[in-house]
Amino acid sequence: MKYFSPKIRLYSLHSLIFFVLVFLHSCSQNQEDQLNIVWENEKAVGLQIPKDISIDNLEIRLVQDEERTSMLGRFEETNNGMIFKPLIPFTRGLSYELVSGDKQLGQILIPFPDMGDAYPELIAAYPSQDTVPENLLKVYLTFSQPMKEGVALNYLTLLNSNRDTVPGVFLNLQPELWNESRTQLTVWLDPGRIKRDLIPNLEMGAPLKNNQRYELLVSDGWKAQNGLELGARVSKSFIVIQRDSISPNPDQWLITTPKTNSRDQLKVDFLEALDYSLLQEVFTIKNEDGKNIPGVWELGFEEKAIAFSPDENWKTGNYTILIEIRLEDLAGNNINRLFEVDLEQPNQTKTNDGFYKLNFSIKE
Amino acid sequence: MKNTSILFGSGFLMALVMAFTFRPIDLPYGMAKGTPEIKSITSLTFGPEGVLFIGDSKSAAVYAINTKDNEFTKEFSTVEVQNIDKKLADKLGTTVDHISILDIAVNPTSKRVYLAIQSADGTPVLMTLEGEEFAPVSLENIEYAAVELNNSPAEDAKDGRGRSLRISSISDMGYADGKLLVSGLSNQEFSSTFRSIPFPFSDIQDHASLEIFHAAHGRYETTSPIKTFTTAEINGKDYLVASYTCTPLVLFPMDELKAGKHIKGRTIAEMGSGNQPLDILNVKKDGKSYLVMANSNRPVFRVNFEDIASFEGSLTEPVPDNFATEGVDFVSMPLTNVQQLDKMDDGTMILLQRKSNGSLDLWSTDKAEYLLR
Repeated sequence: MKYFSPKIRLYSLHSLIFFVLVFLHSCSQNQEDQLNIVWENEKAVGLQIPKDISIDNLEIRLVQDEERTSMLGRFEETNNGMIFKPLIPFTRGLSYELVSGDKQLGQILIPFPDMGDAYPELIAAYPSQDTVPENLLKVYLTFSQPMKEGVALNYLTLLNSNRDTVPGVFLNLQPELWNESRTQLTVWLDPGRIKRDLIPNLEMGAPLKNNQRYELLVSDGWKAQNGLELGARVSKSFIVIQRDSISPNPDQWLITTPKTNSRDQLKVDFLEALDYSLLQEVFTIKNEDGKNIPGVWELGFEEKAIAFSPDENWKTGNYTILIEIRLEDLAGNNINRLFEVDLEQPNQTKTNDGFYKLNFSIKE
Repeated sequence: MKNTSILFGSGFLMALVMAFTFRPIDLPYGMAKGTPEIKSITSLTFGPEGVLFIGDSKSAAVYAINTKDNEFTKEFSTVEVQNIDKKLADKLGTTVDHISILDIAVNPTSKRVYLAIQSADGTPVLMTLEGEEFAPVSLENIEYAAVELNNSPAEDAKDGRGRSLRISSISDMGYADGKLLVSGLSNQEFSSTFRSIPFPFSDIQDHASLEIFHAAHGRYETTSPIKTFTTAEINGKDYLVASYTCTPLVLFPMDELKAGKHIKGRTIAEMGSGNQPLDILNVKKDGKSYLVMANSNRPVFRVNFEDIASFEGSLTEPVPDNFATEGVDFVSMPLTNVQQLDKMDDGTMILLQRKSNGSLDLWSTDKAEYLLR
């Protein structure tokens, strides 16, 4: 926690200024007579303007050393006066002024959020095992807070065993692939370098080399949506093993069937790590009548297994596990098709639609 | 009796008012009036009569909005906005590091420039450029129609499972001959989805979802995602000219783009390593047509369509040792760090460019005629 200390001070300063501002205001005026921030989902979406201020010539401006210009937004009448709603929420850490003509009527700082868990942290990186195939295709990073988009490659570095930065490893994709809550980022390793015989592959070689140790660094300073930064750099080491040119084969998976009349887990062991994100959603279990069995799926250690806990007790009978064939391994090979199909080896491509089916029975 | 007639009278009056109030007004292109729930504006392209298509990657949907900006003009004023990011940030009350310009599009009818802006917290803003000033385009209570793009096979098989981790990001959009073309990529599968969606959107989901394969030098084939594309007529035939995340530039005949077909493109060039295609368009100048392509780590390339038409080969042979861009003859234009491209008219481009002095400028090429000579 050591690395937090400068920010604690910084934060305290901000909150102190804010507190003093609010305090000064509240000494002389009541709540309705001062500027107030309107919050929505932790975003400063509006500014409550006191009743006695006239809308004529009223402007909101960002306080800065350079020329201050009137912000785009709209004024809405409320019972307590007016609310100014900017086009985008006010930025935390910046100050804004309320101006009428040349006269400043008030100024307010948009504070950083409360301490503690508001600082972003990298909570997971997938694949989670410490060996990856030479043709690893993607990495998922999970954060504790919604992050700022579009800057990922400034904060991601891959170091080789000599502690040298490996250049051009990640695909510079804009817009970046964030989930809706902006807490998970998908980063592709440059496919032009992975795909054999393309110029990038011939010129620079594959991004990762067999038998080498690497370290993925996520640097500090990466800002979360709330304006706070990643406190410390985080790294993940891994060793590269030979390329994976074999599709996942569900027929070889090990299935541990539960007992009847129990809520024991159904366990499926893949014997290799598969894609973290796809694993979350490609499985369905149906009974003999074709009805879905409701329950909860739980990923196993290092994404090598998955377990299913039914909401109700298992009944004796035959069941089918449906697996969407788009399920991929770490190298982008899915159940029906390899990441790159060698056209000189016929019959490798199958359809890309539908499900693979695995059957199991629960006996008396 | 009097009460009854008052009751009847007022009932009749109400019915009359209702009949007039709720009489459906036929809006163009099957649109309805309302406020679409647009979560992000990641790409923009214009359709017919001032219809703007907004690609929303976060909701995996495309919204067609009626901008009512439909007055034809042939003339346009030169665009030259220096430090556009700073000016936008000032108007939005924040600093440059808190905004990004995700796309620009010019309304081919009115020649007005539209900008898709995203703030650091994800709030999308649509703006137009009026001279040197910016004006927000309201997305509230507008005429719009929407089409959803996510049709992964799991959608209907799911029950009681959390929100999907799948993202269907829209990498580019275009409109041609009554069809909205959308290229997309997903965070989960490494594959290309290319949709050709008839517009006006219909309830029938007859839009084609194509799997486009790309063969590297005839040997290794992947369903690589398309980053950017345009359509062009070459030797009297319509083609899709697509550039991939792994750099090759590939031609597909439009009439072969049919759902469920294994479609293989013809690679006409490879743009070299460490580079990402950013934007691509076709321009006409002095009777000649050019394909213009902006890149992340290369200058803007220009190629004469005649060269593409006469290039019969496909890059099926292994690349020779010099690793130059292969295939058709590309000319590097004296333009670097161009992030976005569109055109004001057939022969004038508009560029969003990071100049060597660090300034992000939006400018039209009408005063730089040498570029297409």
